[in-house]
Amino acid sequence: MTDRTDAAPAAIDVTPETCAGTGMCGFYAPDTFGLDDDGKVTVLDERGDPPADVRNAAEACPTRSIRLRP
Amino acid sequence: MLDEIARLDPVKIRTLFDTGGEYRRSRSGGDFALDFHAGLRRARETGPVHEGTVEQVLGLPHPAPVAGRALPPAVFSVFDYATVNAVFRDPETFSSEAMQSTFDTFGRNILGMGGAEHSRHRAVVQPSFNRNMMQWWADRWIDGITRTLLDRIEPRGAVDLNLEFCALLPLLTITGSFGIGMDDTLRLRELIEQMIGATVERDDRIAAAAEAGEILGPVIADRRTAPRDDLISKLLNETIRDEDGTRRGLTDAEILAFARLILTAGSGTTWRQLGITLWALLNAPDQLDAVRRDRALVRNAIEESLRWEVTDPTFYRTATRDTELGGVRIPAGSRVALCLTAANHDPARWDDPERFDVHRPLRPHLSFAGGPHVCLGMHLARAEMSVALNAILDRLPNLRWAPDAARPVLMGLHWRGPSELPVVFG
Repeated sequence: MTDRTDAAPAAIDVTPETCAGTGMCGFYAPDTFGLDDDGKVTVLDERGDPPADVRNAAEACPTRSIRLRP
Repeated sequence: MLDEIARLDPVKIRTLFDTGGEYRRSRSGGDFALDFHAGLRRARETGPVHEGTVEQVLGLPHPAPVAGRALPPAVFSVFDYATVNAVFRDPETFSSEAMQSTFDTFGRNILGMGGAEHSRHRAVVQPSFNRNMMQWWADRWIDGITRTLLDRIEPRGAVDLNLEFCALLPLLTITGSFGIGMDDTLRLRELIEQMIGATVERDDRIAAAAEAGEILGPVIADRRTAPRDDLISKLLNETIRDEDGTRRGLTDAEILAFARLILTAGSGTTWRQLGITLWALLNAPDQLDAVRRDRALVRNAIEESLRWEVTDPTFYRTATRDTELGGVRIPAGSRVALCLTAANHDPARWDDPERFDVHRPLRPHLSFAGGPHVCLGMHLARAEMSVALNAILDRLPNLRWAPDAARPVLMGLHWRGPSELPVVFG
């Protein structure tokens, strides 16, 4: 199985222009990611959830609109 | 509607929702009751990409269910997580053209659209299915239907949960959200079977879709003049951005196509996945007990059920150009079958992947597919299963297999689920 680090990412970059608004990120990390009034991804709190949940959210994004900087 | 649910005739339920019968009727693998995981493991280890359908790679006689409009020049199947995930996320190279086979019955809908057209249409329906709408769905339909179904079951001490609970909750949630009554709901259940049934001829499928339209059409017309707090009214309130940038309301045909899509996509899938979740927990009483005591594990149990045994194991894409997957050359026009079950059991991603374990840390799986076409109803499916599991654990104490009944098996090659769930409680 792939090893995963427990370290929090240094920063979270989101790209609302490519976001499809599926809310996949909010399922894995609900206190980190939300949707704005246009239904596009927005960061609520970079430290809102444990790092593993934030990584799940970034990995699951269907349009690769979330990038984590190590 | 809740009064009508309370009065539902058990014989009628059995006639309309008997999966054992449904599985036995299906010629495309519904009667398939073997453990196919060993074959999938071999296919991943010797591939992960093979020429042929999943059925051919596994050495099964069943035809693949999605024929599409024209026979593809070649078919390839993919069995590992990384490649399946990559194909879902590259819709320009791997289109959803095969899903245009649903246009004949549902009408033109998001399953078979691509690119900008798909994005524009998906954006109209997405808001009603967002996570922040789940309380709306629960308050209006999921909670009340769950309560009423369990009111019927609770005094009896024994029941087939598959038939009397799992089958009913998702369908009633969708038809409840359309604001239609029980007679029409039960007729729609029959029409769904005809619209997507593997053994049904094309003309009969189209006739069933037309009759579903006769039931749903007047509802759409009514909500145009007298909006309610329901899904059809919400869709009538949304606008779509056309190619030239202008905004307009949805046409009746567009709403009808969408309504037929979510009737079929939202009723059978959640039914069977909820059944699989209960089946897995009943077979692992220590895990069932752990979930009962710690309700934070309900979410894990649902995600693990999705990962471990997804009800729709195979999705299809079409190569739009010559390309390559896992070292295998894929000519333009080829059909690519993506085996989600095999991808979800990839040992490169999960330890001991064939074990059902509610204590496993969450990692994204592919059971709702991926990329731009990721399941629209995933949050609704999860909400229904979560409300259902919590209510069952609250109200049916000491839940266990009925000691006198044969242990049910998971059946189906393309739509998997338990044949029945005979339980006792109390």
